[in-house]
Amino acid sequence: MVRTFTGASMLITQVFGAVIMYIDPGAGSIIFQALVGGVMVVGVTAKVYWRKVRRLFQRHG
Amino acid sequence: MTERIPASFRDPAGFMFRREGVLYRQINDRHTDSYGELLKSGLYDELVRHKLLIPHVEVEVSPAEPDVSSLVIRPDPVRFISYPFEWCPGQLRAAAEATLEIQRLAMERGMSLRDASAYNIQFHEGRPTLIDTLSFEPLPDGMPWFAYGQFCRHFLAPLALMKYVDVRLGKLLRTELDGIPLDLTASLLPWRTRLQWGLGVHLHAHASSQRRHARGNSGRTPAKGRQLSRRALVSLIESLLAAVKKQQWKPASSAWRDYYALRESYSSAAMEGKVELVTRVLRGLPAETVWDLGANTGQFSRLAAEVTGAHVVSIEMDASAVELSWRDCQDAEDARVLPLLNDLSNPTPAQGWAHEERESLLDRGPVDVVLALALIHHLAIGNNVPLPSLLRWLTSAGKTVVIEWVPKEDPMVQRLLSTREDVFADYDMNSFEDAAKEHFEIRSKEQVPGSLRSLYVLERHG
Repeated sequence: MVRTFTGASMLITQVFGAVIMYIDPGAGSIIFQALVGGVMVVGVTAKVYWRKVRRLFQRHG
Repeated sequence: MTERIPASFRDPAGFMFRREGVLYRQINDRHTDSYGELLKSGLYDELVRHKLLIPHVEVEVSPAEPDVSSLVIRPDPVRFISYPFEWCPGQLRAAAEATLEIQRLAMERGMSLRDASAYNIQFHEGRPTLIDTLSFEPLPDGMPWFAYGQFCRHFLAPLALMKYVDVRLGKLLRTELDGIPLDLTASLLPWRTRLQWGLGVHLHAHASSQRRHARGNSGRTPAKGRQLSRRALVSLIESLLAAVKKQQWKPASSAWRDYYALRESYSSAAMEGKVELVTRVLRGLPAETVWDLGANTGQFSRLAAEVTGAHVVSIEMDASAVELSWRDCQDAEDARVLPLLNDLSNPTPAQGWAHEERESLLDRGPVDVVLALALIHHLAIGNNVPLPSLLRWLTSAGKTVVIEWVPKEDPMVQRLLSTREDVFADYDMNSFEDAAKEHFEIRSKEQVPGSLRSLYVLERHG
């Protein structure tokens, strides 16, 4: 779910992102990292909980 | 005499210098606290234990620039400095994984890599090892990984390009010394790589973000103030590691066929005779360093390492052969052989600032023994290099040259000649020997069993 959502937002970014000269990659990398890092935490947390839920069912199954 | 190493000029934290043949690293006062933290936190010991960081000792040697420093360390010497564009995909991937593992261990101890340059990794005792002891700094809460962009340019971009487009694109690293720009990478990669989580995020979306923020007019918060929680940072590194692990490049199937054919041919009487001859010749040559030129999948490189105990750089122009050779070395845990990609008709030149940052192939020599088996016809006939020029070049590569003369009648030469006009009137044994005598003394000459070839041992004059 998280993957699909980010995938979609990435696509939008890529399609509409203006093509301009490559000048300072530093700022873009840092801002992007903050954004992606946050999304990844959500993804990892979801994965951990999903595993817990699955284990719960496996134990009772 | 103190000589500052030209490649080591960017970092305000310190630099390398050579004094009386020994390599030292000066640690500038401004970096002393970070260096202290590296030791105090236990990170240094842990990384050295895992063979991820070059070990060093602190020495009582006066700094090269005493005004800004009072501390000098002596790192263990690395036998041969190689560059990322000389690595096969497997080597670049191993270096990438080592970098991420170092960053992960550093973060566990409240530190971080200041940079993620592939040039900071060297193959030391067969493993990718960080050679820049000054790369670490404390990681305050909320600080992002400033080397993220550099990691993607130096490692993930070339790995993806080699896997999804063409292995030859790894050579872009030779012109792009600070890694392949992400916008260029994104434009070269096939569209479907956008749908792959790791590449979609770390290369494509990352490239878009760089473009958007390049002019600083995006109207967003400046990059400097950006915060990143520790959990987010850990997730980012894990995600990069997963993406890197997926970039496994497969050598061409033809390369595998050649590889197995060669292995099979080893059991043939002719090959056995050649192995025996080369073994006997090498046994009589004391060597600490060997270059095996035109090494193919490195069979004779490994033989040379075994017989002489030397460190062997196994140089080959075909990426598939180097990859297979690298895998063999890994499987055998052979730390004495370093397979390396280099086209001898256009070997690595001196590059970077003032032509001094990255050394040419020859600048990294000479070695004790050069092994040139089944090579001469590729350069002399395949690449039209005149024999005198070839022999002159070999003098700068090594003191002793073990070279196989491959005559025109040999089937491999006939195959080369089948597609070109024979303009090689001077390609004969007498001309070869005359050219050799200009620079070398011919110490021995023996027939290679079961072939028309001869094996020469040449000793450089003076």
